[in-house]
Amino acid sequence: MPETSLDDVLDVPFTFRLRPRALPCSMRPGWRLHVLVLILNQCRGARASIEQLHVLNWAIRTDETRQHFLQFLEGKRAPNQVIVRYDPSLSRAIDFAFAEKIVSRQEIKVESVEVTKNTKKSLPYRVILAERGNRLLQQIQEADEAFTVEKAFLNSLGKKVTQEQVSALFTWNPIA
Amino acid sequence: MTLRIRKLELLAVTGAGNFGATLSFETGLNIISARNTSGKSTCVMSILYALGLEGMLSPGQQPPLPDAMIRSIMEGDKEYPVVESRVRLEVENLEKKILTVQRRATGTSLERQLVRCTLGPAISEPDSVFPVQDYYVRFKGAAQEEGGFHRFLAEFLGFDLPKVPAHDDTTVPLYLECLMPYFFVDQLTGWRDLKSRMPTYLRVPEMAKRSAEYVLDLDILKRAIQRQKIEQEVARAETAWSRAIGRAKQVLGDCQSLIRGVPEKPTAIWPPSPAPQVLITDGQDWVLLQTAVDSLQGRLDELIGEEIPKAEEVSQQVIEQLGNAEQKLSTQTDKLQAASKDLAAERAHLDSVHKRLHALFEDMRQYQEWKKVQDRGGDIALETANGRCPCCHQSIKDTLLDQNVAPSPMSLEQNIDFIRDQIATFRDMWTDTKEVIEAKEQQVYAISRTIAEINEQIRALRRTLRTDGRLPSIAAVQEHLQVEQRIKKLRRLQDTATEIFQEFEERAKQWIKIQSDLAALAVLGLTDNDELKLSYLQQSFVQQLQKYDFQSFPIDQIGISRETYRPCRGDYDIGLTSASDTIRIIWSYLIGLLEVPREFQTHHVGLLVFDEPRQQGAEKLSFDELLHRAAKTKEFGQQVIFATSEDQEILEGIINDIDCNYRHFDGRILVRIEKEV
Repeated sequence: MPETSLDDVLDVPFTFRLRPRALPCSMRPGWRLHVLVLILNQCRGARASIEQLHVLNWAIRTDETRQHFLQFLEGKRAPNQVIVRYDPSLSRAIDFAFAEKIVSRQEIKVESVEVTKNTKKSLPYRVILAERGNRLLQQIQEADEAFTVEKAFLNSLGKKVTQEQVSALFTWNPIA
Repeated sequence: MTLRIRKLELLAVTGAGNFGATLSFETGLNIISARNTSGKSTCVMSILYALGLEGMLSPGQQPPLPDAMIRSIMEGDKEYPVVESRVRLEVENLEKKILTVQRRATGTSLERQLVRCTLGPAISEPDSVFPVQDYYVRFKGAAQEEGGFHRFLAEFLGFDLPKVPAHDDTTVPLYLECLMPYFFVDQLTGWRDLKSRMPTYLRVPEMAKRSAEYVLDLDILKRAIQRQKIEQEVARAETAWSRAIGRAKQVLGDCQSLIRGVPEKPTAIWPPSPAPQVLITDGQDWVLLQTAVDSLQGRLDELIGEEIPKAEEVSQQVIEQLGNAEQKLSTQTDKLQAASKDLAAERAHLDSVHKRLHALFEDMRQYQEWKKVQDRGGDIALETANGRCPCCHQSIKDTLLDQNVAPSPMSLEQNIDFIRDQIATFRDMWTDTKEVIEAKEQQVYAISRTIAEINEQIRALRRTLRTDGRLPSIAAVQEHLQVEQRIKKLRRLQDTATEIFQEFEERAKQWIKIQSDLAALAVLGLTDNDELKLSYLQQSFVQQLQKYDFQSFPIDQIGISRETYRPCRGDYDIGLTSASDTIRIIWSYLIGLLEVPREFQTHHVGLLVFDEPRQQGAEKLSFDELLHRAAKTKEFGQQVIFATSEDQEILEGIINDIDCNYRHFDGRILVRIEKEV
């Protein structure tokens, strides 16, 4: 048998292929849009500010955050516990949701005229569940085997989550 | 198993006096004939109500009785509010024991849940005194607990109601309510398909199938129950095995030793190969327990061989030994610190692996649920969920990361597989780390023990130096004692280990038995005897359909399903037939079931109560053949109660050659009675 050296072995053409990367499910646009619909449904009037969405989006993510958020709603929170993280991917998800027409935009009336006139900044707005989103919601609610934990968590929040509660999270005011 | 109705007594108390009725029943065919709205159904429902079995109809707590028994009673044009009402029923079992049950139809639900049982014919012999017992019904536990009427009734009837397999290795009792639809046909719901009459709220899985199997006493049910029992034994054996491992770890852990090579799950072969070993540590290395014992024994033999020296003879030696011991103490203390640190690091590692596993499981759950949603599809198809941009409809990467820099993600399936692999890897890591921690813990203990021993040695050496030089060396005595004690301890440990291995051997033997029992039941299906019963039922069923003039489709297509034990056409449910043919099917099937116990062992109570269907525009059915067939029950000690509003003349024409207990009411059945019965 002729001897083969390492060089011989390596002396063949190479192909490099980009392997697909694993991704947490929560980073899948489809999954997140479904959750967004569920979250909106839990907000008063099926509408929420971006701030509110960030909070709930953070809260729903893991066992730990879910527990912390529930404790916060009960008025119990340790100073180091509830630290809401803004998630840039949520903004993308919301953009997708607008494009899919499952949510729509509702401008918030701003009292001071200056803001509306002379700035290029977009007006503050709320995200509201659109008709198509409502139908999607129904579809999700009917699927018993899907989003089990998410549904259970949102149900356990009880009455609808309000903007005030969310503001309290950021400002450290007690909930009224 | 026999239930024979002897007497039924209804009583409604009003301000204007008492109303009531007493009906007697006999073995064989009983016919109650009365016009509609005369109280015929009241009587039939009262039988069900007295037995506390109205739960067969619905989960509600309201009595299924008409106004006359609950609110107000009509006499001519006058209406009197009912103050109180009750039903009493006298029944007899196979051993001819007679029981009278009494239940209120008015009052609070608590009052209605009380069933007063008189152990004797209280209606037939009103003046006799019999023992009385109170039971509760329509109450959680009524079927199972002492004091529950249905437990008592089941015993009285000779039922040993099985617990049938449910989900997740659990069982649920087959309630009496689940069997009643085979014995009792009420007017409102009774003429529907049998399956739809099952009290599904009781949540017995495959209720219609299971109850049919029980009524027919099919082997297949017994085997299914047996199989589940064995499966539970398997689960128990597995728990017992892992508990035994846990106990062994604990017992051995107390002596800085551990067991290696015992399989995690029960095994049939004991000892497994390679044979399990008991290892012991001195804080550094692990050696076989036997090796440790041997080496200590060697040292002890040496010590025994030497004479214990006097203190003055060894003073120089003792000083040296003291120095060595102090040196050793300092090394061991360092070792202890290092080992403790190591242990803490491993524990932190275990914790992080645990957290990672938790996160993986969560991700896995999300993916699996998401996959289901994707597979199912739906009316609202999101473009984003299918890798397309909802604005420009071009394909995009399925990720919420920045589209420009994000690597393309795996497909859902790939990702699920990927997570599964990760979970497997992290699980292995977890088990591995846990074992490492256990071993490290033992090492820490072992070092602590060595330190304690060195301390003792140092104390003994110091005392030797201080004592009278003519006395024996305390240090030498001390060592002797230490070695002896240690050997004793390890020998005990060896005994324990032997016992532990014996236990595993015993459990392995049990495991073999369980597994072979399970293998014996592996093939489930109808036995030959089951098949005989079902053919008999089928024959009776088909024969009756012919006699009753079934017309919807050719009779040779009809049979009894070997899958559901209900009537079938070919391989399917019967499907739609004319209203009167549906009634014929129910008659034939239920009477067929009543006839099976004439040839075979079954759990049928030998009673069938029919309340005639309301015939709304359907063709008039002829009861002729049915009543003839039903009358045969007398020969076999069975009973059929048939309530009908058939024209009196026609009915009497049919039954003039039938041996039956016929009672016709011209007006209302509930009438004014003079005094309370």
